[in-house]
Amino acid sequence: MTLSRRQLLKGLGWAGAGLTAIAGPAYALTPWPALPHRKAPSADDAAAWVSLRPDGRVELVLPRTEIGQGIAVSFRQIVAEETGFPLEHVMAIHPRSDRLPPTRATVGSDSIKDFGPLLAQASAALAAALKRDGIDSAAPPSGGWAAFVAKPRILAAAAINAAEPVSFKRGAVRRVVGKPAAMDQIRAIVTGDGSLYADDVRLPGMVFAAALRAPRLGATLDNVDDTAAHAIQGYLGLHHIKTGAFIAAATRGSLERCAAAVKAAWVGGDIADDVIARSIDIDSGLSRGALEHVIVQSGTLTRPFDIDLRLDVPMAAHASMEPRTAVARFDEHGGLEIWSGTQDVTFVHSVVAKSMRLSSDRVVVHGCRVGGGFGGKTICVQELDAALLARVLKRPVKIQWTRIDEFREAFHRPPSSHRIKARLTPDGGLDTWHHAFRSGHVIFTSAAMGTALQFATSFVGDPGVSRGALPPYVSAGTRVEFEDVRLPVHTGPWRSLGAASNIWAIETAIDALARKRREDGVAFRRRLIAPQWPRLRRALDRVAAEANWPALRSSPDIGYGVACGIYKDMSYAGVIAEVTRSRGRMRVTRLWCAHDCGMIVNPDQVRAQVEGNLVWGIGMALHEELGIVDGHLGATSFADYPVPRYSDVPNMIIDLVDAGDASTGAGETAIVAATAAITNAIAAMTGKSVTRLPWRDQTV
Amino acid sequence: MQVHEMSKIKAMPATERGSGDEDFGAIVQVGRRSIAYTPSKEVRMRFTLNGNEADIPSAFAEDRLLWLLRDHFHLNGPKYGCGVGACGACVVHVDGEAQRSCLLMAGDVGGRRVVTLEHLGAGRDGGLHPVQKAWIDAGVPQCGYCQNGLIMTAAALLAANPDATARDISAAMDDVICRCGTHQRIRTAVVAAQTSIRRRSR
Repeated sequence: MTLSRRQLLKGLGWAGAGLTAIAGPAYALTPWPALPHRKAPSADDAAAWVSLRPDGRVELVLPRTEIGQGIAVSFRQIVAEETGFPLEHVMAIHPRSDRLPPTRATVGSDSIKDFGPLLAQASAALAAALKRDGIDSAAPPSGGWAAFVAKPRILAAAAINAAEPVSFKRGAVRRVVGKPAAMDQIRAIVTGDGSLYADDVRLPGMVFAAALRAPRLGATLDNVDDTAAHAIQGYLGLHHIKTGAFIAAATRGSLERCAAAVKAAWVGGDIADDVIARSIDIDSGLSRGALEHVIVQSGTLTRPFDIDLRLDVPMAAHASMEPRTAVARFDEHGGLEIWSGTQDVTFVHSVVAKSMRLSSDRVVVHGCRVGGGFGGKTICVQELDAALLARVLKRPVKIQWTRIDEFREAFHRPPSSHRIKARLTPDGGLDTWHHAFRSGHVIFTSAAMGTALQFATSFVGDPGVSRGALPPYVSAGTRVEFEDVRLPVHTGPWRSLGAASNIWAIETAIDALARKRREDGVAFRRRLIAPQWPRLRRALDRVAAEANWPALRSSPDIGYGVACGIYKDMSYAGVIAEVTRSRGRMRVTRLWCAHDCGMIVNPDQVRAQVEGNLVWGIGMALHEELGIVDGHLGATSFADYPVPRYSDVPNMIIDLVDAGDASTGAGETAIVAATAAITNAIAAMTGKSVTRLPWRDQTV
Repeated sequence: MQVHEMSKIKAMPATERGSGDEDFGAIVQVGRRSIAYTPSKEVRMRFTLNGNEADIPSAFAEDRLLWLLRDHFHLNGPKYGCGVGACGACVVHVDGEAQRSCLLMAGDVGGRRVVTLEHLGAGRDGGLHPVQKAWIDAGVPQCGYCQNGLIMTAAALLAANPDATARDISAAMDDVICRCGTHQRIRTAVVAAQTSIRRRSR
């Protein structure tokens, strides 16, 4: 194989290393005959986003899904800024396939960066068009709004491109952008008064369905006996559709009783519980020589090493609070409507249309508020199931995954296994940095690809696995290499993809080097950060100042740790953690974070994202681990998959750095530094690096 | 696997794992006061729902209370999160006490007074309970899906004990899962609501 990685990426149709990529001639062999839309948005697309309604409000069709990141209000702020309309006169509606051109999935923390400026352009163009007709505020025209709006105004791409918005203009005076504003739908969330999520969709005659689930990984259905279910009121039968075997019932209660009454026999599935650990073991990988994908090789690697660390990260679940849910309905003319809390309305639309051989204008997908996504709600599963069953049953169908389904049938963050060897120069610089790691897949995932494409991509390094693997530190000799390993469980994108795991490993090793030199962790990093990352150095300085780092002294009972990181070469975070030992447990008792995502549209929502990332760092460091137990994924509920709870979360002091740089993203940044700051604080107490996540008391 | 020490949930018996019929999660008892259920098919079952007398249709009597509320009464406040009482997304007040509606049968609440998130603020200023108002002021929600359980749990706690200590608050709020990481704002909001409730009761 002599093709370079870049050539092969091009050959497969990859424009770049992004998320959920399925492309190229092999696509017909994938489970779905459809591709995710990957193009960046254009001015033509933006023309569909904003319009004036007959009631005098500006309507914004969200090109990105609201998953709790506050994008609806942030986008409304941009529209309000440009049009001069008050924020409450700008209303957002969720993405829907009949109102939007094809739009890529809500992933990658790039809504403000890639969609925000275009939305500002389109809004400014709308404002200019209104001004030509004498409207320069939200005050109604003399003839009233309805008559005014009756005359169509087309926002042309040329006008959008020519507009001069102020939202992202450095130094511009802004009314709305840059100020806190409450999240959309907050009142409905706290009062229950409103239909927000897919499960709030109720249609006349709607029935419920559930898949028969294998009791072991890899088992296949042998036979089903549903005799007993027929005696249960509301049972609507067993249905074999192309995505699996399902039972249906008139109500959720009867569905549960029927599920308990159906006897399904399964064959096969004999996966050993330690298969994952063996598959990704870095040392057995390295014992066979170089790993498959070398990201960087420069200078020479010199022995002996000052540190040689083996670092392990387990599989983890998204564990979104809203289980996957979809509702599907056919109208009397054969048109199909779907409601789902999905991160990718466009992909769901094209998968369903193509799988069911419906022309695309016959399918409408309504995006609902997503009750937690974190990268997990990016593929099309329950939507297609519901649509297929709605066709069979000739009634609207709701499918809601159970919590056990969420743990067993969804895809998860892949486990990874790392070895980092490094050597210092005599004057305390980095002489050698060698990071090798093996991981399950993130983007080239079996959750989204058939075996043919899995094979095709096996020559290409999975860009989700390698995200964040390049250290921001200068070293005379550097080698970073990895292997993506096919696992018998579905893995895929989780908050920050591979970056949280890779940067945890890097920052653990850097901290070990600083300890080896007895040098202060902040000072050591400052010296080593490469010149092209001044904003990382600034984030580190800001958090050190905020926490008064020089005054913090670790002891065997209380530790202080630091870490920093860059997400997607665009956003920067420095984190300091205080961890306290209490009765054999480690508790995070304070967290400080300096966070730089450039110019901020809504500081309150950015702050919320940083808080969430820090809490996820606590989970990674101290709680979360998903393994195989007795041949199946070993979690069934929050009782056996611990996530951070109220008393696990300390006071968090967050410093938002906004020095006027271009806006980037906040959804996945702080997690890359949070986990290592916590485990480095533990190392400061014990003198030993934490080499396996989550931390466990090794002395017990 | 570590079972969270704050959790009052008894782990599911191992014998029920992998038995093939666990798709909906076996119902486990949470360490709260459970309500005795004596089915009586002949008597028409009634309860008070959000201040109004309502019938429990016999077809729903043996369903989870959560399904009765969501699918028969079309209430959106209580949510399905886990079905085994381990997350709190489905919390409602039964006779003023926070209960997991996924663990109660509809028939369990015959003659009882059930309040959901929709009715929490009824009859008060602007229709918002002090906890709901504090929640908006602190900007707590992200995805929003778990917030019903947090708000209903906090409201029941502060109603029963307006002088709840930080430890009492932790014990109650630890039982409700939020995945987005809104915990710091939950703390701010509960404290603000407590101040407001105490002031009101003076």
